[in-house]
Amino acid sequence: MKIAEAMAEIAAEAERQGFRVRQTKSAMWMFLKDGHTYGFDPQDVDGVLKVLAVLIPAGLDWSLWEG
Amino acid sequence: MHWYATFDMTGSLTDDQVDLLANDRPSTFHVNGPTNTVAIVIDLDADSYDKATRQALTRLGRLTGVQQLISEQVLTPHRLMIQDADTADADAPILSTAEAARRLGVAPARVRQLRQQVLGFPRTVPMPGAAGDFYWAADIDRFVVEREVGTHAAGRPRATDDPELRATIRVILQHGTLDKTIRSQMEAAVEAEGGRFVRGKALLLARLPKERLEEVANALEAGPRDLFFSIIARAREIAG
Repeated sequence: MKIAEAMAEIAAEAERQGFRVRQTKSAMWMFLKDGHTYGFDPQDVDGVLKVLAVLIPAGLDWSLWEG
Repeated sequence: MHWYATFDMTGSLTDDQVDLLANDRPSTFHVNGPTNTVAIVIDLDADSYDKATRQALTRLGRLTGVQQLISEQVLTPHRLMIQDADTADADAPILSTAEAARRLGVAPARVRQLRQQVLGFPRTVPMPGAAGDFYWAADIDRFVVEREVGTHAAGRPRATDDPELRATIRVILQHGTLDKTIRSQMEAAVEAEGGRFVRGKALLLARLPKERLEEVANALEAGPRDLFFSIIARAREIAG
């Protein structure tokens, strides 16, 4: 899995669903919603699964993503 | 075995302060505006609890952004948690094939086989740019329950199928890491009430007549009783 591409897809879907997304100067991904800021630095597939493990309870409906 | 440290602090951060924290590049961070707390998670590459604990303290000391925010009293630590990967990832909503295989008690290759051969096997979750399949954890957990109910292909009935106990609540323990003492207490209490413990590779299944659950739970010591009730709550969640 190309991590950067996967994160870009997740970011795009998150934005469609009401998250604000930006990258920090240190290249971490940040997702903002309802006063929460979630920051991630995934290194591998498991890291990406952990991103979804945080964002899904935070309100991301991943079943809406069209591959 | 992989280990993580979660470091919880109280405080709120400006955008610049968030960037300062992000400069340390923790594995994840969560600035929780509503509760005024900040949590960071760092990966550890220790292989034991002792090494993980020592490494956590060393690595936390090296997070210069976090340490600066603490010394400025912008953030106040209130909890450090060292967890292994199984504990930390237990509630993950999406599983890799490897993790699904672990919960089903089979090899990953067998999961791929089941996916092709078994009607009603959980669907895969689309994942951007991924090689390999992913599954919803809830679907895998539900599949485990349904298999035991007997909605499988015709053939010799399993030893674990028992029509008398069909209308029971199935208690599912995931990850199979029950302390031995607790496990044998649970087994004894379950068997005394006419239930049966069935052991798979990654799971323990207990079948109990519904009306006996309370009595069995009361037969356990305070510690195991809490564990037992949380397992029942989980089984009810899965059964929907």
